[in-house]
Amino acid sequence: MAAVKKGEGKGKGRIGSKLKMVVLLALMAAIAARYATLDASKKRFIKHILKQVPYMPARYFA
Amino acid sequence: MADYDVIVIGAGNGGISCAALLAKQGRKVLVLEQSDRVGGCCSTFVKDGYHFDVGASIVEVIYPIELAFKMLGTEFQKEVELIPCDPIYSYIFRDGSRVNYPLSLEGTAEVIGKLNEADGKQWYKLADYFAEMMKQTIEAFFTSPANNMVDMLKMVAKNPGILKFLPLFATSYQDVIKKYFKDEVVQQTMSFQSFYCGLPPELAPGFIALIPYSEHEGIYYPRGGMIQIPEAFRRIGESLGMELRFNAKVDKVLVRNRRAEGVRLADGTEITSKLVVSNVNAKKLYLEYIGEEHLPWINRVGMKSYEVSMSCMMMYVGCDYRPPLEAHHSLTIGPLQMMNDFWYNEYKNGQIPEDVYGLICWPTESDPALAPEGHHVLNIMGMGPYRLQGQSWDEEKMRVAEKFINELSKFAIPDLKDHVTVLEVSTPVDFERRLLSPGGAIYGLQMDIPAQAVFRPASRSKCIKGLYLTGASTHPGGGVPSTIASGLIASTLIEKYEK
Repeated sequence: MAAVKKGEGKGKGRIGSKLKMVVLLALMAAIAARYATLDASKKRFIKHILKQVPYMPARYFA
Repeated sequence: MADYDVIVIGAGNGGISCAALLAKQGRKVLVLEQSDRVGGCCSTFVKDGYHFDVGASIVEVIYPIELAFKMLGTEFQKEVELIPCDPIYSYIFRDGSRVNYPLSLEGTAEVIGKLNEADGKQWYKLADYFAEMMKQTIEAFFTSPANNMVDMLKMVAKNPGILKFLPLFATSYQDVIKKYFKDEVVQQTMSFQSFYCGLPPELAPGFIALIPYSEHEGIYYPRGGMIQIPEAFRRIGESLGMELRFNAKVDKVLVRNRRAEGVRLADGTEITSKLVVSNVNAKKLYLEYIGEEHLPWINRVGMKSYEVSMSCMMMYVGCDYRPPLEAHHSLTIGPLQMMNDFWYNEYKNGQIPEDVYGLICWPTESDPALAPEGHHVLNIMGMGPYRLQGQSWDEEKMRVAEKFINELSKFAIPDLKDHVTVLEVSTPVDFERRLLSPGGAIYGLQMDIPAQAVFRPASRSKCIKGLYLTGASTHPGGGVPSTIASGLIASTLIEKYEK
């Protein structure tokens, strides 16, 4: 069985979480870029839905 | 021992259909109605020999209604004579020109084709798409409960074809219409229907674009007025032992240990029951009739977050001539963008609309017996916010109605102003007073995606045992077939859970 050097696992974990952060930021940037290209009407539709999202969990129990 | 098995609060379509179905199950049912007639928004009143419909003006998508009558051991069309309406709509433009859409898909394609050849062909594509949607979803959506995610999964498992239409939930009504039609006049004739869910074209969900198609599967007017539908449920319910009391206003739902145990009337009388079915607006039910003290915090937050649906102004006109209209329903419309601008600039700011767009219903075209011989009835729906900025509906309503009629006389119904014999007006404030509908809401609560299905107040209450909801503010929403479907769903849930 190969011995794991002290700190090696932690290093891999740090790289993994950095990668996740990069992917998440890239995804958010892509969504923001896509949103910016939408016309004003579509933006209003999306805003209308999004502003109600915080209430949806409570509505589920209503 | 409780006085009744079930007390139903409100004899609107949801309440009266549920009550009749519960009586059919052999339960001792009492219906308490605060007004002097059944139907709520789907009702008819008489003045000087003219029969005026309160709000609802036609019936379409009749499947859930047929099912409810079938469950009562009869047939819808045996109980209520339905008069088909064809053409289904006449669209009247400000220059007086008209576009009439007939019932047939082919005839409609021809009319659209004259406006724009390519759009005429596109009409068939829209019709095919929504015909399949109706086939896949109507039965599942209108007859199944949507109380929780399990119910939703069962709905999908029963009808996996529904999944194909999910993109319609992530797009607006306007986008769907613009996807199919490029001609602005054609788009214009398809824009008003978004208000049937209480929202302008750019905010209404895409699946509402089903309506311009569903009308072509048949729209009907009940002979004798819209009240004939709830009256049929009343008649059958009473023959099965259902008891109905008019002018009986409920003040409170009696709740003990989070269980509904009856009601208290405005005169202080208490009536007990094993179950309570509410046909009142869910927000009013939970926050006023039950009281916040009986609700867990999450229900309070959820219930307060709902906005009530849009309201409107109805003008009931009796006239001594045959109005020069061409269909049971006429729409005076503006460009699609105008419908959106109206929402933000006037409706949301408490302004009375400057322009006269709205729905003109001509019931005596279908049923002449609704007015004295040679006379006619027009029920005109105009858009109107509940709260007016710096004005009062009570003071403004006759002036607004007269202005509306004068304007319509100029381009839509020539000479109408010289032939009015009766004029009654119902404003959003009057609707609140007469129908106890908060904000004068005509579809209960908002009808957009975050307030649909599992996100709408549940048919079987999640916080009060023995309490069931019907009407426009629960699943599947507002409109004649939907409210009757809500009564049907509540009755099947009671049959399942309350042996």
